[in-house]
Amino acid sequence: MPRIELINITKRWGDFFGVKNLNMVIEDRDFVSLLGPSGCGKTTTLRMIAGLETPTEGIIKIGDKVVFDSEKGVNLSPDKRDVGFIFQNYALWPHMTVYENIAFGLESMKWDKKEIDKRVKEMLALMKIEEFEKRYPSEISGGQQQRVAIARTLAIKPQVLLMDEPLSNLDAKLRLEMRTELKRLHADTDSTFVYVTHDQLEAMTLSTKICLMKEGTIQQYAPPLKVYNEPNNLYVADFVGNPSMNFVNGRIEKSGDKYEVSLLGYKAEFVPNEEVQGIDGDVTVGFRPEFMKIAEDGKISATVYSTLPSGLETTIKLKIGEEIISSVVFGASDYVTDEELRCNIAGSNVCVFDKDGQKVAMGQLIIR
Amino acid sequence: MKRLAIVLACALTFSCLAGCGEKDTTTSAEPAAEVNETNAEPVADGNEVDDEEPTFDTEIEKTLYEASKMSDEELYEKAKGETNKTVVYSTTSLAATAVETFLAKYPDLTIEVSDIGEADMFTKLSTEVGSAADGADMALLQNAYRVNNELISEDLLYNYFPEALKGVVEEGYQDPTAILFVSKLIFINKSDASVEDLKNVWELTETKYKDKVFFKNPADEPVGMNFLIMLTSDEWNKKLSDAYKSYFGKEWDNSAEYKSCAYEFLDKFLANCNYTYTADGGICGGIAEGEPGSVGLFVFSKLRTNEVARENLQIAATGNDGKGIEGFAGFMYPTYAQVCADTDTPYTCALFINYLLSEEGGAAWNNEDNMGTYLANTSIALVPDSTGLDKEVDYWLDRCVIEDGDYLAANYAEVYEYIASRIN
Amino acid sequence: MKAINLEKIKNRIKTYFSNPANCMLVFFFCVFLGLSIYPITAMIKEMFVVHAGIEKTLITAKKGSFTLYHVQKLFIPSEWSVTSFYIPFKNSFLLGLFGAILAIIFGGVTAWLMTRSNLVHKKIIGTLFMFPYLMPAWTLAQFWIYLFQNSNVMSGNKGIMQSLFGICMPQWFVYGLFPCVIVNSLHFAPFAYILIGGILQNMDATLEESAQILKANRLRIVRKVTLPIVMPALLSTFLLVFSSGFASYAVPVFLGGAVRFYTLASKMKAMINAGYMGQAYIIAAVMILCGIIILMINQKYTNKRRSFTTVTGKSGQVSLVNLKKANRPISIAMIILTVCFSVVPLIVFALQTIQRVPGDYSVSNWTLDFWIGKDLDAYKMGMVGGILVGQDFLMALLRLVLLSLACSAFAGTAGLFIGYSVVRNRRTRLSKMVEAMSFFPYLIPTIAFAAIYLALASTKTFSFLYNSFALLVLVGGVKYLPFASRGCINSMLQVSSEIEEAAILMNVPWYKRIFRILVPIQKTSIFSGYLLPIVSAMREVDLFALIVANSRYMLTTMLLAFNQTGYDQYASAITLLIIVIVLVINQVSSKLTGASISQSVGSYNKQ
Repeated sequence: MPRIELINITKRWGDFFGVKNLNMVIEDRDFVSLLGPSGCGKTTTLRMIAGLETPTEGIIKIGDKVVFDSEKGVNLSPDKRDVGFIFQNYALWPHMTVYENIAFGLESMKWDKKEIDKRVKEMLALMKIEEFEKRYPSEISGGQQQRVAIARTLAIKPQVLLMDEPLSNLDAKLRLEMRTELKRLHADTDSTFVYVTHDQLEAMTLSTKICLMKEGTIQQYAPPLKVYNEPNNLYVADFVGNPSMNFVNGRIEKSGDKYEVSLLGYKAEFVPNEEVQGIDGDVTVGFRPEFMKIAEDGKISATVYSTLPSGLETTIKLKIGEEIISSVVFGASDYVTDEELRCNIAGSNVCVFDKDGQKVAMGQLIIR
Repeated sequence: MKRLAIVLACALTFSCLAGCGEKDTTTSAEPAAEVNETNAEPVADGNEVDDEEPTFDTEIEKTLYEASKMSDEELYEKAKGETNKTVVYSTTSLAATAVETFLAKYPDLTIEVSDIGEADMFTKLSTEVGSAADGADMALLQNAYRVNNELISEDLLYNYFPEALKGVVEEGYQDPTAILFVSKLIFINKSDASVEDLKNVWELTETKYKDKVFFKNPADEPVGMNFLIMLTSDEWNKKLSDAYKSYFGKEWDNSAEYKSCAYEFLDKFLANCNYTYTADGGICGGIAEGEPGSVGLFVFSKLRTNEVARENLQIAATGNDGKGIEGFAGFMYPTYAQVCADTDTPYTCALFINYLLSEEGGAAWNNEDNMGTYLANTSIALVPDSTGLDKEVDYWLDRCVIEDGDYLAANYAEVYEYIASRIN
Repeated sequence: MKAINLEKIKNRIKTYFSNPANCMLVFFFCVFLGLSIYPITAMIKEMFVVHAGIEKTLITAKKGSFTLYHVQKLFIPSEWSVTSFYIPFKNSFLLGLFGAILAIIFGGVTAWLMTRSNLVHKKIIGTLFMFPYLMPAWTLAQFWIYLFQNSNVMSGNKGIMQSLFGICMPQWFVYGLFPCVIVNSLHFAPFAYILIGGILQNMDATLEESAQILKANRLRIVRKVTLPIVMPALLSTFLLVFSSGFASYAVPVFLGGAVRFYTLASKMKAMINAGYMGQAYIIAAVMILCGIIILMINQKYTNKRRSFTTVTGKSGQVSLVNLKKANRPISIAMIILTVCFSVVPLIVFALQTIQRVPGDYSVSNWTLDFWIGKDLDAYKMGMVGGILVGQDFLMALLRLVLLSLACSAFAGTAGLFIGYSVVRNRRTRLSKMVEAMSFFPYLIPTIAFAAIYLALASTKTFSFLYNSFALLVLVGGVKYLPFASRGCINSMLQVSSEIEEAAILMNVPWYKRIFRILVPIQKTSIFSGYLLPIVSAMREVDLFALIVANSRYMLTTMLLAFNQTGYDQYASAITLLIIVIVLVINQVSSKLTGASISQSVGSYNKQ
């Protein structure tokens, strides 16, 4: 059913590439997040799927239907693509009441009046906004407007729901609440969701797959945990996770069948998870803060630079030599500033990136 | 709505306050007169009892009366004592030339002319004369009706006429003093030889002239309106009746429908008028280039600058084998020179009026570059213009309707409404 | 107890006036109260008294005595009232109505093409389309006559269309309501174009996109989404153009006179000419009343609860409608049409100035005498020769430019302070009142406005202003204040108050806050606020005619004199020069400061 396929999609304005040769398959009932900083082409990609933007080159298929093909000159207009679209600013029509906003799409489809009424009531109930049906958009809050926008989009039962940063205009608490609702909605509606966001946490928590983009190209397209644990490159590793991954410069040398690494003024042995080839010389070593363990028998000595407890967890900034390294421990713990302590790099998820930022190996780091 | 109501309410409440600042016309002339006292002849001076000595309401009036008996040299002496600048409002732009030559002759005086539009003249004078505003000292203006009824009768303008010229200017133009006349004549396009000369004004009431009589809309041009109203006077009504008789071959006898013969003429003539052009120049150029047989009523002087017009147009007064058109050949209106009631330079004004009535001053209009303008001073011969088309003033006075302030004052309102309902 | 209360009130007043914005607001309230009260009282008085001249004879009462004659005469149905009031009223109404509708259609379609389609040659069309607004409306009227007069109608003179193509249009096409409507709508179409185009440009494109995704077709989107959203702009354009058309004077004089087509304004002038002052003032009052009603409708509509605030979405890249094959033909048609009413009139006016005998287009009739000729006895009009010879003309030109600059400095600066004080006191009753009252001068018919201020200057208190340059500046400044204050209010609204608050905390005095912070931030839009008064004053004729000490004082009043005496070549030369100067000012300022007329007009709707 609604499987979306983008083949060699390019969007160019003059010399500027908005999206560059993008290939992606969104499976039926996926919840895919397009993640990236502003200007990376994620919104453009979404708008091209919807038909609001015309790609310069490429093919787009929704389900079995080719909705766009630059070579064959196929370009279905948005209303024929059977997609729903939720805009960042909701785009509610200011001159229509909530009810009229939701009913609009159904009227366009020439539904029967009674049917429309039934469907609108249903949507109002679903989004818990029954009491606002007679109000104008300017008379309800941002969260309520957001619900109206979703109700309006879902009313016509689209196979694909495209969302362009729908939560970015909400306050933190409401955003959290709406995330839950969206995930629930995805489970309830059986449709494919494509979601644009620049908030990595949102992407992590909501999606079944994350597509991380940079300057119009895909950096990694994988399930959230895979993106988190096995980033394709430095860029992905840095973008995902909070606090972000620790990166230190190191030098790797192969001696026999072992890899010797020097970093943070220490020597360590790197044990790759898989067979690797040809890693040598200057590299960047990355490890998540949760793997920076504070332990009395740790090999590394560090001083506490600052402590940031959040209740649930505590981020400790450690100073090792001249580098500042983050460490996260569960629960509330307090360290005195400038206190000296010892720590270790644990786990087998240590990443090694080459000079170009590409990940070359993952594995364990044993400090000597 | 509410807001507006408040504003309006405030407006009405405070209206009395605003009223405080307004001028009071009843006491208008006095302060201005006081200014002049230093220049005025001592009252005791008038002890040589003259039984014609009239009484005066204001010093200025008295001064002007005395000035009228003085020679130019005496006036000049007096005028030299007037330090303020004399401002002349004028509807005729050639007044600037007269001022120039006047100053050359009397270099110790300061006088300046301001061109003012015809309609604005009345609004300005009735606003400023007698008010605190320092505007004109004298005015050269036209429209006998409004000059008399709005300004002179309200004591905003005073008349001045020099005693010495009483013999050479017709009595009717001494109070108010007219300095010159302008003529607007009937012309017909004769570019096609088959077009017959106009013989009688009643021809212009025929349906074949529908929309072919070009005339500035009299609602926009007061002198044109005055001319139409003058047609109902006894004199012109009679001329129109005579013309009627010779044109239709019977006495006019339609009093059931029309008040007089002139009223019938107005009714039918106005129905044929065409107000497409808003300026005389347009009418002149328009009918000159237009269809043969079109008729226009416009200022004679336009012919000077338009060769085509000279070629194609015939003056109705001179056509018809020299007999001219019967009825009337056009109309004339005087330009009056009047002194403002609050002037502080009455002697300069008087001297300037003397000058305008003299040959030298009149030369601003009476020269070979101008035509269709005639001086009120009949002792001055007309300087023929270079086209050779112009004729002496008497010729035109016989054939053209001329404004008469008294007749207009008595009949204006009634005839105006009769005409207005026919030009809308 | 009482003492405490008094103290409290005293302190409150003190606190209120310690804020300069409040002081200014109170000041402007008083000024506007005066500016509205004085004309209102003056006019009410004139409506009920006997004036000198014809009224004295008709009513047989002394000048200045109270009478109801004028009201009765003008309103009680009779032949007189029908021709003097009811028909002109109907004409004015129809002219306003159809002129506004057509202006919105012309301007709206152009705005849509320019902002929402991929039309080619947008830049040139956009520039040329503005021309008719920069030209005085009556020049278009004159041009219409030059273009369409023909031997079948009225004057029987051949116009350009007949001479070149042998096309003769019927009389209704050349004179009367129809051409007045067309000319008015051509003149105001750019106005509509800017207002509607501004809304379309600022309007969040996602509003239309979301409708498209909800399966609405183009027509339904335009009908149900686009139109309702631009409705307030459409309405305010409609009302502004309607009121301008309703009060229009010069255009009906040129195009209506021939067929006795009178509007309220031209009737009023005729009444004044004949001395029916009382009735003239009643007509003026009726025009003001209609203006107030229109203003109230406008305010009521824009204050509705379905607020039309347009949040600009991030999708600046609106998908433009592809006109496909129609693109080039539409573009070419637009260019031809705009050229017809922008460049062609200029050429025609230029040709008029070099004809020895007006109306004769043959080369042998060409002369540069009217520009540079010397000692032209034949053309003597108090002019030494061509208008570029001698000081008279150049001085008049200089004075006109100076006056325009001074008017704009007056109106713009006052507008700036009004904008500041109104915006800082937003939502108080006083600020709303000041905002509404600042529009009042716009509603008073020009001729009445001039007469009222002339009378004001003849009072003792203000007599120093009489016949002075300062009076011209005052009159022009006040008349154009509505434009400037409206623009400044809008530009001030766009600066968040935090920016100024930051400065308040740093103890920066208020004038510094305005001139060092607010003005630089909004300099383009504020400068645009200055530009509209300049352009309006440059082409204004009727307003200053009565007030200048001498009709040769300024270029425009000189033009009026030439027009009245029929010196077409001089008149055309001046017209041409005024248009060119206005165009140059607009171009230069948009190059130098980014401010242009399109912007100053555009700032009208951002509320």
